[in-house]
Amino acid sequence: MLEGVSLWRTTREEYSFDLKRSLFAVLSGRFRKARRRKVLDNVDLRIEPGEKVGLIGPNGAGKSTLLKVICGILTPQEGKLVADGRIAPLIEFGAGFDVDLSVVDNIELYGTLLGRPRSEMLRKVDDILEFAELEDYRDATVRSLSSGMKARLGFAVATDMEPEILVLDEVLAVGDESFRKKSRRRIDRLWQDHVTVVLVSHDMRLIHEMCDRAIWMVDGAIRHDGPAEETTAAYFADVEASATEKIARTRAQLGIA
Amino acid sequence: MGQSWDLLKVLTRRTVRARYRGSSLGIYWSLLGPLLTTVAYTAIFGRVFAKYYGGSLFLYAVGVFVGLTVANFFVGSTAQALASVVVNGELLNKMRLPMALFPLSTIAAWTFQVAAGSLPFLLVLSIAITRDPLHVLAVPLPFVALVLLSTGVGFFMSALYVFFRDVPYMYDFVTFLAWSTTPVFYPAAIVPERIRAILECNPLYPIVEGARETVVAGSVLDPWMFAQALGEGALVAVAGYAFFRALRPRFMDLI
Repeated sequence: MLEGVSLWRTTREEYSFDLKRSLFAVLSGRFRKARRRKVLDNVDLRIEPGEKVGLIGPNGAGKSTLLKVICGILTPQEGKLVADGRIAPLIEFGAGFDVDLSVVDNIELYGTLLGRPRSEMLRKVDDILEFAELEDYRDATVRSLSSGMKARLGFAVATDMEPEILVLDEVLAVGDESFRKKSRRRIDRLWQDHVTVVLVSHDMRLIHEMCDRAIWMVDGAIRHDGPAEETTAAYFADVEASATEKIARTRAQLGIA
Repeated sequence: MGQSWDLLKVLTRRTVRARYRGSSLGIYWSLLGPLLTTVAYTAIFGRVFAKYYGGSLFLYAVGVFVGLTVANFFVGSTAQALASVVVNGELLNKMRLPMALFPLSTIAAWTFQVAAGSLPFLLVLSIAITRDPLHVLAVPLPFVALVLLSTGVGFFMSALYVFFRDVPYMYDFVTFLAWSTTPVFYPAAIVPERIRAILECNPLYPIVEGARETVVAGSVLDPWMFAQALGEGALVAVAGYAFFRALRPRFMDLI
């Protein structure tokens, strides 16, 4: 549940990472504080347990930022967030791998980073290796795995738990055809009734299929919130309208009737 | 709490393994550098400085080794801790993790190396040289102070590095200054009285002198020096963490 959440971020382009230059700037009175941009603007959002919510909207609308707030990676300056339940952030599989460590060590490392007890991860190593079809690569370094294998390993570790809240950022398809089927089954299993899901995607069909509610974000604010079909339809209508308008404007500029 | 502990363990192990990739004798390899340096210093300065160690070249060599162990730990662990938050930026952007774990696990990895590598060696030397259980028991004390000091400086530098990426160059200079004002290969006694008072402001000074006293010196231990070292270490650790904590909310925009 989010209540009046606003978040500003310092724009990296304007920030000077140079201590020497910053000191001189302060001394010569030319110091300028880097501007901060409002990325989330007073977002109120209540998601009920078990709801499957899709987030849509143009690039830069704040969808991923919202996910990061829900996961607790970013802390908003205003408003508050209440999340009840174990959150599984599936923002990108394998982000916590250390490629120079062995597969087994990485299962332990990545699982612990994702918030599970180390002892539990050590117990589950065999299950995970089996699911990822990497039993023969136990002691190989992750560097030596192919990118498909890495993705499989990341998927197997990240989804090997019973989260109460699942947060996904365009990461449903992994590996070759047979593994994709298997991973789809696992996703379906994770998609059980009691699990709350927040999914960011540009794939409207996916949102349609997998979610029962969709939120359309524009410029850090919620533009529309409702049943998936309704929101996606409104989004499409808007995209089409702005496209038509653009065409009309171009035509007018070119003097075409 | 249990989760943070688990995280500290896996991250520390990752750092230790990264250093000793592919060699099970890794930790003993890390002794080789200081040992060779000790030989070099002993060959060059041994004859001149041995008289401060009762004329014993061996005791001078042990004194140098102790100094190197302390100074290298400080320089190496804080330099690695400095980068620890920024280097893990990608990870921090993808999962919620307690950020303090990154500098902490770096220091923990170095502590583990010293505890498994040099420390047993120093304990044996202390037994052989002082034959005094009190000296032997006191050997780890200066290292506790050293770990506290390095933790504080590590916190401070890692937070600063998030904001200013040219900090490592300046820090190189700072560590060089710390290194050369620490009596590593020269005895503190050769430094003129007035200047020595300045050197004593270097927090590494009481640590090196304390550690050396426990291993080499036949004299009675000076509890005041240990208390000073521990107190300074604790103070720096607390101040460093407070600085880190105060700036932490602004980290994520810049990494």
